Amino acid sequence: MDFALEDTQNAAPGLPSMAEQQKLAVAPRKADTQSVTKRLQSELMTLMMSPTPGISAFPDADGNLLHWTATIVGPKDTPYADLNLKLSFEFPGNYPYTAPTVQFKTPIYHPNIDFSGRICLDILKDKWSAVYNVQTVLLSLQSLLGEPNNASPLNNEAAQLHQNDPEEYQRKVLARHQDIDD
Amino acid sequence: MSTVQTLAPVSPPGGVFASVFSPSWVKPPKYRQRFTPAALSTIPDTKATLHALLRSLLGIGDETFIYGQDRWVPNLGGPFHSHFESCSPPDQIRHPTLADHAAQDAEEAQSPLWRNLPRWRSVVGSEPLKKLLAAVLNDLMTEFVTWSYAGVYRHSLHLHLEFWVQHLFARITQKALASLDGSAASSTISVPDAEAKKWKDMATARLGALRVDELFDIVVDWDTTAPAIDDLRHFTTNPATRSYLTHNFANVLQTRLLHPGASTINILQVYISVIRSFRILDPKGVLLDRVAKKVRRYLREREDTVKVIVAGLLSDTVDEDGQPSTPDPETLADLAVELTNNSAQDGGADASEFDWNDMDWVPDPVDAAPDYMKSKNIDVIGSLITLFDTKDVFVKELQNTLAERLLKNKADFNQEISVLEHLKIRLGDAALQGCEVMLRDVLDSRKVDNVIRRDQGMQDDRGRPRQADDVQLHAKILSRLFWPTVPEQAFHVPQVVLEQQQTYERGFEALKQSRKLTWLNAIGQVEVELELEDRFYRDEVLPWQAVVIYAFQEADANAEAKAEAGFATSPAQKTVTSLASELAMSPTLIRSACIFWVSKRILTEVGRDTFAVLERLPAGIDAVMGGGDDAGAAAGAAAAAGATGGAGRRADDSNATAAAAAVAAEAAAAQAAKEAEEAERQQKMAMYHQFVVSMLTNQGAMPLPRIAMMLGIVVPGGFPFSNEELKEFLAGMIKEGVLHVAHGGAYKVSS
Repeated sequence: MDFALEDTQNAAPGLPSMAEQQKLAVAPRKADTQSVTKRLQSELMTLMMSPTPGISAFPDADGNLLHWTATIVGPKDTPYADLNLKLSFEFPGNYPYTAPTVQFKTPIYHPNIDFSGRICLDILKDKWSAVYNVQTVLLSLQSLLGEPNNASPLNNEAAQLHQNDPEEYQRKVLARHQDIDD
Repeated sequence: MSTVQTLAPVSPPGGVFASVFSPSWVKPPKYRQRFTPAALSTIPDTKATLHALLRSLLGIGDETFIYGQDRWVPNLGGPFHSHFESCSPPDQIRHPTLADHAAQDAEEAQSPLWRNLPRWRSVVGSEPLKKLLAAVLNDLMTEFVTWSYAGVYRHSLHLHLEFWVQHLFARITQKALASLDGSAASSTISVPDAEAKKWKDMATARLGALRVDELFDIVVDWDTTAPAIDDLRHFTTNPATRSYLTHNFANVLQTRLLHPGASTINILQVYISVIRSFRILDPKGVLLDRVAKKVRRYLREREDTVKVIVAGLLSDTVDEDGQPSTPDPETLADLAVELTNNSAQDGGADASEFDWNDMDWVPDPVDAAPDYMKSKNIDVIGSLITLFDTKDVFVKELQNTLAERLLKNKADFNQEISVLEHLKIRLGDAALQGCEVMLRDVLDSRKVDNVIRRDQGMQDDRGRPRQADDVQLHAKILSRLFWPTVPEQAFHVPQVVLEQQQTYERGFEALKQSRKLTWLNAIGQVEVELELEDRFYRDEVLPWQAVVIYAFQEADANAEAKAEAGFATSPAQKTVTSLASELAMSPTLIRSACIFWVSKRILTEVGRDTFAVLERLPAGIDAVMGGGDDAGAAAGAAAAAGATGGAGRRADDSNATAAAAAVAAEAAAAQAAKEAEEAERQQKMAMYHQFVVSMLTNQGAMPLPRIAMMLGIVVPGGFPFSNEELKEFLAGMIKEGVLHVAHGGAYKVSS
């Protein structure tokens, strides 16, 4: 907020000033980026060397490897069969100690995913652990498509329909789906 | 145009000296001076005569020129020769005695110069003549330095130069000016110190410029040319000359060294010499820093740099008899010597900028670049191992080379241990942990090997085999995680070896619980003894070669059984395909092994791809050659192999035959290696394939340049293809139906 800026004038001597604080915060982060990049590079390599059918991911063209786009092909025997679903990954500077921010880019109708693509999945929130990686997250999301967690929905209507009216659910899924092509 | 300008030297002194020093032609006068045409026409003539007379007075171009008396005076030293090469050591040059001065004066008095000066002055006037004199003297100084010192590198050269300036150049200049001014040209004229110093500085600058020009050759021949660096130290005393030196040398390096025609070893060798010589020239390392930047950047681009460095570090400095080994031009054995001699004596760490107690501290030189970092690593080894941004590149290569050496059947690994210990000081223990483990593995294996063999009854207490003709199996146990991956070339080992391996495995698992052995059959050495009907053969060969020859032994045993049963006997015969299926080995490798044995004259190729044991050496060699020649051609060996084979047959020369067979064997081995490489390439291609598919799936359609750029970013170790190659690769993928070209030439995944 604004007063934080003004506060530098009146800050007690001895406390780090605003500018110093910024420096303090930035320095370790900079050192970190390299290890994050290294980790992501090796994750990418694993994905390339042992590709899993139905999922794939690749860094965006901005060159720092912290933004990825992933694609999930809807699993067979689910309402999403053969749909191409795109997601965006954003990795924080202290990845893998903090979960990446994952969102669906393709419009999707699903009990645990809201209309702007945000996902309610425990391993992306409080259950995140550093042993997870892009591949495991994608596999979890793929299985989430077939087995939604109706107990804690982001989209109530979808949860209701999924339990009570599978045909209508299927129709809504297909109606909402829209291939994005860039 | 001022007329006086015609007095200027027609050509400015050689390009060599041009860039540092202000142009040496005479500045135009403030007012014009007019000469009569007659006077004007005499000027070039005057100048030439002046030049010639002064030249001989200064002793230039005359290798027998001596100052004063030509004799050796005890305690005072020898006479001064103007020609440096014929002079006695500079520190023994006699300081001229009165007798010397007198002799020299008498000598000089005979020169026509003194008669001519007044005459010239009356023609062109005093001022122009002085300028003429200045121009000539200026030329002559350069001429003297070049004539006397070019290519001559001796200690205390500056003493010689100072003598010349003091007693010849400055004095004669003084004398000439005095005689021009009309004052009595007295022989006792002495040069004022301040003036003499100016002359000396000028001469030193000329000498410096000469040395800078020669610097590349000086560096290349480093060690014998060390005094030349001393000369340069007198020169590089101010920023202008320092920057002249680095600028000039960097350019020379660029044109003479950093081009594709120079081998990496050459470049590294010169770089090492540069480091050594520049450390003496400028211990602070600023000059080196400026010169070496380009070399380092260039070396980083070369793929084999790290290989050459590591091979050099690990090369043998002494041969088996403890004698210093003869230097092999293919390796940088220099590095190994340097490493052992120089155990970080300059104690690195405490020489930092923050050592407040350092009373000898001096600031960085004024001309240090803003990004100049006083690095501790300005010695040879330090510079080379910090060449790359990360230690990883270096450590990885070190592991590969070390692995190769450790797997050899050597009595001890003292050299490897010592290299590793020395490198630890520089790189830190942590970086070399992997190498340390490898070394430990190999050393421990020896003990473990002994214990297992004893426990499993494979040898008796004294380490001798129980049965004389048993196959003896020794193993080196490697910790998989710490060793570089070994190319897998699987094949079946003979039954006897397999049994031994299983026994060994049991022994190991008893010794170290919950650990498992995986056999790497492809690496190792096998000592083979072959008993043929007329000879006996013993050698150390590679496992796959041994396995192939062993297969012939089995066939032979069968044949003997048949013979006993009364069948007609013939030497064991096998085809490549049957061997390949029997041993589960790639046909190329089999071929290579067979041809190896043909070159040893154990096998012979009786038909295409069919080999038989050569039990008796034939009297002639036609039989062998028939096979060998064919083998050469079939293996795709160089045409030379076939040609040599043909010649051998005609000349009936068995040496040529053996040589041809060896060439064929080499070619076959190369073929096998190529195949392994090809397999690796295929694997890489599959990886690129996956990268491209994944990229286009997720990022949508992309044009070629963007694909190339992205691959460059994400493929570890960089993407080696050019755009053209990538285009071809993508075209291949289109043919496979994986991709198609969307509108605008962008590539897209077909779904």
